[in-house]
This record gives sequence, structure tokens and C-alpha cells, in this order.
Amino acid sequence: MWTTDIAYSLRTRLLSGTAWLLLTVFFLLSLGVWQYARHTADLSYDRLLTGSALAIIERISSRQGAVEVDLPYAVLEILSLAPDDKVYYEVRSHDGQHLTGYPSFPAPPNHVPSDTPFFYNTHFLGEPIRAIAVAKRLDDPGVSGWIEVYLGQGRMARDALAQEILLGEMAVLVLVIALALACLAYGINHTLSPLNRLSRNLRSRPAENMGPLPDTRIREIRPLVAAIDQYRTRLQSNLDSMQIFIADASHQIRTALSGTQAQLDIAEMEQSPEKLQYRLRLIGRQHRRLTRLTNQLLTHALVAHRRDTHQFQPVNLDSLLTSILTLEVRDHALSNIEFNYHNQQRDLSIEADPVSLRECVRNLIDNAVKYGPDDNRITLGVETRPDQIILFVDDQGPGIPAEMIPRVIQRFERLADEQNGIGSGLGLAIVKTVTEAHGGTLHLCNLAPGLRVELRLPRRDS
Amino acid sequence: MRILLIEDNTELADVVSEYFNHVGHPLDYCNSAESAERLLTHQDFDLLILDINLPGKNGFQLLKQLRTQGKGIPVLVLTARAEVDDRISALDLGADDYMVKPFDVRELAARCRALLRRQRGNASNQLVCGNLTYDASSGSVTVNGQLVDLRNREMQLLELFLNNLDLVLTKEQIADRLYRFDEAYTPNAIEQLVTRLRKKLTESSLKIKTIRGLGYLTHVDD
Repeated sequence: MWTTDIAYSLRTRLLSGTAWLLLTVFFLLSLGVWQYARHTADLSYDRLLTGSALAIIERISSRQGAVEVDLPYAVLEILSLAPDDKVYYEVRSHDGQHLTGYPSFPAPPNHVPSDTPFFYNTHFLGEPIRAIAVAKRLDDPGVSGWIEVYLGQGRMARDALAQEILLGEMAVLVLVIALALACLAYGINHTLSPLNRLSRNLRSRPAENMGPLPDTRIREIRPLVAAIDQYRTRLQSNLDSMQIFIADASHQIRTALSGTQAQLDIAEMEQSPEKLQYRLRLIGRQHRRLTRLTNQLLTHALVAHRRDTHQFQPVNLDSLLTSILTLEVRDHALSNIEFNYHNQQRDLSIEADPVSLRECVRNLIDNAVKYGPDDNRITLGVETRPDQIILFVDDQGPGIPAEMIPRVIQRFERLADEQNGIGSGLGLAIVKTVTEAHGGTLHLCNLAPGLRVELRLPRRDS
Repeated sequence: MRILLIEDNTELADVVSEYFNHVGHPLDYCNSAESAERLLTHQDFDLLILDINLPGKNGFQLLKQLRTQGKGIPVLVLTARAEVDDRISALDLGADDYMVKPFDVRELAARCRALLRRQRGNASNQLVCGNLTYDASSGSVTVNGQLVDLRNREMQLLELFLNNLDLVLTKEQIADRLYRFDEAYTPNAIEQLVTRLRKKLTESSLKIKTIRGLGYLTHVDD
């Protein structure tokens, strides 16, 4: 998997990768071809050398205890097939004496004379040559031993042949590689074209068209299309819920506003002071509802924003919770609600966003107050498990029917038999947003009697 | 008690001023930190209600300045920003309390009274909390004019509560203030003490709330 951050083209990458591979292959093949060309050239010209050397050997004889060499001129004719190459030779007697030809012709090192021709490369008179060493056994009286024949030839003709073979083969190789690259480029373009089609399709698609993308027959592209479709579905559902949210919020705000307006209008016409008082009380109630709704909406926007910006810091849970509880107790000092606090680990600090966590816990307590009886007993507590921190709020309210629990968490979804008018249903949505921002989960369970709301946060002690 | 409200929204300032004057708390207001500074140099106020969002110098700056000058005048901060960060830094800077807009004027007045009582508990001998009157010099407590018979320790506890209205007092804090080093006490003893005091003050507007697992909070209902 590529982990580079730099933008790159799949096509260029595929092409350059293959090109490098082919170049390496080309290089290796060229080496092989060079070896082959030299070998072939040597093989053909070595035959000439062999022929000539054997022809010389033929003419070696002994007469009266002396070695006689009758150099055949046909030998030189054979060798003149390579007209530019010089020919050198030497014949040495059985006792290593120079008989004829060029004296001190280089013999191969550690050479044992034999009648099998031996080929070797050497230099003579400052020129690279190919040489053959072959010997003839004479067993005549007076002359007994190997008569050695050395024959050398310049390399120009062989090199020319080797080069010719090499160039020919290379030309074929280059042609093959060029063809392969061209085919590959075409193939890559062809293979990648569905991607281009996909992006063209996405680009030209109107924003409101949220239907699935056209299906693709390519198995590798299919997961991508499916992922894009899934993403768009999620986006759409987010947009939908946002629209429902805005619609609900507008509905609630407008209802409360028109209620207040109507009460105000009636109050203006009201003559009797008692009725006026009554109207004013109604207006006050409507207004409080509106205030709470506005606060909830703003808090929801706040926690949603903070969730996206991840403003985490070490938070001492005990001081956060006790300060929340202090405010709540003060706000409900005149009620008969009993507040409890449960925390065995007073020095526990966690990585959290104190602002949204505070709003979250306050909403839980407010909900417990709102839905509970007048003599409610509300417990705010912390429990620690090895991998989790559990914040919970217990109340003694009616609880929530088990089948309703998943729906309650949705925004604005209120219980059907809600008697208390002041409530926007946003509370748990705020709680859920904050919990998720902290990587936790929200759990509701019924107590007997009452409800427990638990935030299970992953343990990230600071 | 004289209160100075620093608030740039004239309509809100008018309403608050009207209500405070109506319930018998003289309240003046000005619309900027700069004018508040001028007023504070010439006149004495018992309490400041300070808005944070002000033209020119903001409320935090004024508060900080007052505290660095060593002025201990109680300050209640008003803020329209729901960000708790603001509230926390307000308290850190030396505010005594805060309220978030929109607020209930009655609640604001109650908070102001609580603040002044806390302040005055140390300064004067007589403290009036709704229908309850506490006289430190004579060591007497009356509810609705009727003398309440309190034992020594109950009286000390009441005084402690009155000096810490609307704040949580833990049992340890209470024990530290009520018992000498050599006196043994149990958390149970404090619970019983609070229960006795609460019973004797049933008729009063002083509410002692128990927060099990945390401590006690006293609130005046007036």
C-alpha cells in the first residue's frame, strides 16, 4: 500500500513501473546477447583457426632426426577470409626450440602439449589475438616428443561479427519492448477509463440527485462505487435529519412565539385584574418554554461544534460534577427533590471537554427533574471499570418503556404521555452528541422505580 | 444596600433597575466599564452586577482591574455567552457569582441578596434572611419574630451556613469549623446536628438541602 502524501497518477505509476522492469529485462538480455554474440563469432572463426592449425600439423614430419615443417600456403588462404586480421604462428620442436614463424609466440600458461586443439585469448605485438595451440607427437629415432604449433589471429573480424549479431538482436529487443510498452499504455488507459467515467459522472451529477451511481461490471471498482453510495446515503440521512431538526425547531419556536403573542393580545384587552394576572402567568410560562428551547438549541449547536473541534483537556471529574451539582441543588433548593452524589474516586481525572461534559450532565439532571415526581431522588455518580468510566444519573421517575428507549435518543422525539409542557426533547440529543464526541456510548435502563442514564466513556485517564 | 449595574443594553438595564427599586434595592446603572470606574471612585456600592460584553473595556478587564486594586466588593457577572469557559474564568478572576442571560429578574435579586448576606455575615451583627433574623451579638435567632431556642453548636452551624449561602459545605468542612482538635466527632454526629437544626428552623425561609455523598447547601427562600 502506498502511504505517500504526494498526489500521483495511477497511469504514470503503472507505466513507469513497467518501463523500469522492462529496462532491467532489456539490460539483462543485452548482457546475455553480448555473451552469445561473442561466443558465436568465436565459434565460427575458431573453425578457421582449427583448420589452418591442423593443416600445419599435417605437414610436420621428421627426417633423419630433424623436424621438418612444410608450411602450406593454403593455410594463409583460409585465414585470409578475415582480410583485416593479422596472422601469427610459431612451430616449436620437441625440445622447445623455435623452428619457424614468430619467435616467442605467447603460449597459454601451464600448457601441456596435446593433439586436441586448445583455444585462448592473448596479446601479441600489442594486439589482442585469438590463438590456438595444438601439438603433434613424433616418435622417430632422434626426434621423440611433442611438436607444438601456435597460430594466432587478430580479433577484428570476430568483433565485427559479434557486434553485428548483438546489434541485430538488440534491435529486435527494443522493438519488442516498445511494442510491449505501447500495448501496456493502451491497456492501462483502457482499464482506468471506468474511473474517469465515474468521476465524470459524479462531477456532472446535480446535487439533489441522491440516487445510486450507475453500476459497474468491474469487480475492483465496485467497492469504491458502493462506498461512495454509502457515503452519500449517510450524508443524505444527515441532511434529512438536519432538515427535520430545523423544521421541528422552527415549529416549536413559532408555536411558542405565537402562543405568547396570542396571550399578549388577549391580555391587552383584559379588563379584570385577576384575569390579567392569569394571562400574565400563562405568558410567563410560554416564555420560559421558549427560553429553555432556545438555550437547548444553542447548547446543541455548541456541543456539536465542540465535538468537531475536539477541545479535550484533563478534567477532574469530582470538581466538575460537584460544581454542576451545587448549581442544580441551588436551582432546585425550594423543591423536595433529594440529590445524591456517588463518587469513590475523588482524584480521578479524565481527558474530556469540560464545557460539553458540563452541559451534558446538566441536561441529564434537568431531564431527571423534569420527568420525575416532586419528591424525586436524583443521584449523580461515577463508577470506574478497568476500561470504562461510567457517569450516571438515576431518578425516581416513571422510567421509559423498553421499546421506546432507542427512539427517545432521537432529537425532539418526546414521550407521548408527556405532561410537562416545558421541554424540547433536545436534552438527550445533546447528551448523545457529547457522549459520542468522547467516544462513549449512551445507555438507558429502567430501575424499579425510575430511570438510569449511563454515559460509558472509554477510560483515558490523564 | 446599593447596587451598581453595568449593562450596555438600556432596555434590560431599565427593567432590572425598575424591578430592584420596586422590591426596595436601590440600583443605579451605567453602560460602560469606563463610566463604572468613574462612579466607583466617587461613590460606595455594596454590589456590582457586571455584564461581560461591553463596548470598550469588557467586564472581565474591569473585574480583573478591581481585584488587582484589592477591592473586595462582591461582583455578580452577567453573560450572554453560554460557554461555561466564561463562567469559569469569571469565577477565577474573582467574581462571586454569575448568571447566564436570559435570566429571571427575581432570581437575580435573590442571588444579589445571597451575595450581600454572605458579605455581611462577616461585617455586621444582624442578618435577615426572609423571615429569619440572626443576631450575632446577642446570639439569638428569630423566625417570624418568634425566638428559636438553639444550642451553642446549632448556633455555630447556622452561622456557618449563613456565611456560605448557596455553597456546598462538606461534612469535613463543617467539622473543621465546629469542632476543636481534641473533640472527637463522627459524620453521624454532624448529620444529627443538621437534622436538629433543620427541624428547629422548619418554619423559616432557610432551606438546608442534604446532598448525600457530598455535603450540605443552604438556600434562602425570599
